[in-house]
Amino acid sequence: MLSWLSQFYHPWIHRLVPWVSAAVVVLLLVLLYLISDSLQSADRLESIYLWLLGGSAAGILFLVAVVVGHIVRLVRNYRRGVTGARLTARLVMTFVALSAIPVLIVFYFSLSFVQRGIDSWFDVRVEQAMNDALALSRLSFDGQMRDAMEQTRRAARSLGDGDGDLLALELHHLRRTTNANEMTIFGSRNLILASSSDDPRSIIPSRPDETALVHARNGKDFISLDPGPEGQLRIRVLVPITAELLTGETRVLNALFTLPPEANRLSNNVQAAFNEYRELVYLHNSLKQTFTLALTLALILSLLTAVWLAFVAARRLLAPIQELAEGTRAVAQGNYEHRLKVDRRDDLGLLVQSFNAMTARVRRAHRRMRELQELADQERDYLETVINHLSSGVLTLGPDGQINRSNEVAAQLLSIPARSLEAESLHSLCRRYSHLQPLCEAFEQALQPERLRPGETLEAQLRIMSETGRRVLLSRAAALPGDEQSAGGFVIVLEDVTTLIQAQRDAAWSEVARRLAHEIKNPLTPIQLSAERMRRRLLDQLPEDGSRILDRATQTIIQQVEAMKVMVNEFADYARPPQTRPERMELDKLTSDVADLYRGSPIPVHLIEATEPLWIAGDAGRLRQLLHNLIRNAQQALDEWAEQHPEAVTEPPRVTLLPRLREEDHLKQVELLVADNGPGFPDEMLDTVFEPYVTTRPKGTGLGLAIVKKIVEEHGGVVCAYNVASDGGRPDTGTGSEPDTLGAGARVLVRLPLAVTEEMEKDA
Amino acid sequence: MRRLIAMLALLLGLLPAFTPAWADDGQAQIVHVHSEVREQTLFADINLRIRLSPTQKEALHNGVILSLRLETEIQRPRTLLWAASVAESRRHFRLEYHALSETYLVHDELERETWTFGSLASALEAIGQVRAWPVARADELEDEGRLLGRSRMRLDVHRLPLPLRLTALTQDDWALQSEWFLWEPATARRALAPVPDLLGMDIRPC
Repeated sequence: MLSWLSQFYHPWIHRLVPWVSAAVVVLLLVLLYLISDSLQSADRLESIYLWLLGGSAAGILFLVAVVVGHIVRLVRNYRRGVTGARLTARLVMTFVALSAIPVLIVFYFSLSFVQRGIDSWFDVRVEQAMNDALALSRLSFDGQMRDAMEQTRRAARSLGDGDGDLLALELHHLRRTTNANEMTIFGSRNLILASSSDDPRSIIPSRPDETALVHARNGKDFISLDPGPEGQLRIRVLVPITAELLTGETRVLNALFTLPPEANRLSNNVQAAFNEYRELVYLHNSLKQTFTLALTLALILSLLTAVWLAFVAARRLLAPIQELAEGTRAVAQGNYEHRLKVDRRDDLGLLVQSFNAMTARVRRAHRRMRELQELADQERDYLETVINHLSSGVLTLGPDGQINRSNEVAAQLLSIPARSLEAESLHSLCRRYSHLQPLCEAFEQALQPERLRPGETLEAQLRIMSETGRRVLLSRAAALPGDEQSAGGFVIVLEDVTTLIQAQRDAAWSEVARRLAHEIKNPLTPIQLSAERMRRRLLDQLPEDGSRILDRATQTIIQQVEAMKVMVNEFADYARPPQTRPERMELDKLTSDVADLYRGSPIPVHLIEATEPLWIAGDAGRLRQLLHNLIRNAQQALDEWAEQHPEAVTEPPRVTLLPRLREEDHLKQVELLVADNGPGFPDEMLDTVFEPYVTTRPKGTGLGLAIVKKIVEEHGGVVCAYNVASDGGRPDTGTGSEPDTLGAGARVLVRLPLAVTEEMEKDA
Repeated sequence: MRRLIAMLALLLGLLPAFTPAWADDGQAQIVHVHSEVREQTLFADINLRIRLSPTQKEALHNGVILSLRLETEIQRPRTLLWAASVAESRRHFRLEYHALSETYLVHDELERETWTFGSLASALEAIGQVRAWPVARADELEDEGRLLGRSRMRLDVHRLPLPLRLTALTQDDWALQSEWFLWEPATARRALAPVPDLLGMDIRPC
């Protein structure tokens, strides 16, 4: 119902409707006037009355359709929450109430006045008077009627049974004597036998009523008043002719007597007045209905017009407000180009003008803001590019410790996946990656807005365990400038100084070793030579006691000098620049060769063989030394442990070699794990086991693992040491899994780059 | 489109309130029509039976003049379209009650004559005897082929007093209208023959 009405409301109909409605209203007013006019002069209009009624009904139907259309649209808009619908509804209600109440009051009183007015026309006394007047009129004719009857009877008696012309003559004579102005004799079958009239114009005599003739034929006299053709009241008398007739037929004499003109006029007046009064009395209910109908039509017309005009007025009033609302919505949705037409000079026009001014201002501000934003975007991109290409890791944190931004280098330095830095707080990062604990210890407490002021910096050197061993990070934290409401957060810059420190340390040791070797070697030879010469010269000359002492002393000197020379040579070796000659070789074969050498040694060496050839580019001699150093180191550690703490040894000591191929993120590496089931490295030494002169053993030179590291670095690999606890726990440094059979103990992991094989070259 | 039709149907449904109610209670009935051509004129004699309802009698006795209209049309039937009208004729009888003389007056507007009757029955009987009514000129009817006459009698509502008109239009006890009586007009040269019942209509040859 709603939808088809709205469809029916086509735009062009929409534009046409107000004009048609106005025309209909005017037409209906004219019709109402005509109806009320026709009520006053009832006889004038004949069938127009119906057309008027039909036209009014059609017009009112049209107005009803228009108003219903308006209401339907209003209800629909109201439900949809269209702007202005509520205001329209309120305005329409107000208008309708304003117009309906007076109209209804007027309608009610008019109706009651009409009803009472019509009723007041009629009165019992008037009605009685009318009836009496009529009776009086009849009474006044009584004497004349008796007279006429008498005269006619007499005439009938004197009439013979003549026929034809004779009868006519006789009748004519009789009429003359009786003052009748027309006399007719009816024979059988009501045929006119003779007629006489004093009016020469009337050719056909006035026939009496059939019933009156039958009445007279049955032998009874008949008398009545007969309203003639021109309102001429006459007395009609029918008398049977009693004379014996030869033919046996019954004749009837019909006589008409005129009344005096004055009596005629008066009686006619009485008759007309009586008739009119009776008609009015009879019609008064219908009259009331008709007046009510006309008034109702007027009421409906007024109400419909009021509702319709209310809609029209509301629309005209609300049109600029709706435009404003649409403009506001457009601005709210970001369309600042919307401009409203200013086509009125009233208050609403002023409002529209200010709206346009406001929109223009907003438009300018918005454009400026966009320009600024583009500028900021450019600067941010610039900064981002710079940060991403720094060799230092950069982390920026919000005041709440949340990481806002980071570069890839930061993730690499912290040995964590880059995406785990996104939207993560420093605290949760440390909880997730335990090796980052030093970072949090250094900064978490300090990075509070009230502790670290903008412009201040905080420096710390962090040691974190990465998959390539300990890493030393030089990190600086600074507070960022914030705005008035909030603190600005912090920036942490990380730099990897591991290699720098290592290089410094290596260079220092090399220098020390070179100098020591040089300084110590120089006096050693004269000492040795002097000791030998002293022995050769003095041994025979001294008494037995003295020679024995000399012999022992010089022997000691010579031996110690020899040992010192070896030591100094080792130093020299350590400090010497690498002299490796790499060639393609299989690490697994070398490992198994070396493991064979230790077969039968007190502490067994197990080899878990690799499943595939492990090609590397390496110097076999140097790598063999590396293996020997690692195996001997482990064996000595196990040996010493067994001597010092025999009660702690629960299983036979052993060393395990595990060469294998490690594949991670499409990067293939050759890995060699040397494991023992001993006590592991002391915790405080884990940092420095690969530095020279770091040893737990009283007899050790402290160069074994330092040389290992040197060899690994010569081959472009990495080495790290760690412990595996008896419960399997070990630092999460990405060292990969290992077989369970190895047991708790120390681990040294060597990683070397995989050599490119011929098959791989072919594949590539 | 269907909605438009529905709306039209709604409007049409309201129309009967403004159109005359059809009388089918046999208050007025044409019983016989006889026609003949004399002096280049088609004359019709029509016999009617008229009976007034109590409401109409009451109105008559209260001074309301009843106007009875007798209509006659000569038509040329067509196969596909409705019949074409060749000639039309109307005749009004005014029936009036004269309170002073307690008589009924019948005024024939065509012949400008007034008749007086002592009873309503004889007045109605007089109206029901229409004699020698010239309904058409004979030359109008020539060369028209087969013709059909139809007649009916009805109360002319539009001549009632205005307050009564709406009531008379809407109420059944005011209805006074005979059905169309079909007859074959006589022609000067055509022999009278029964008309075949082509359209299933009540055709009575005269």
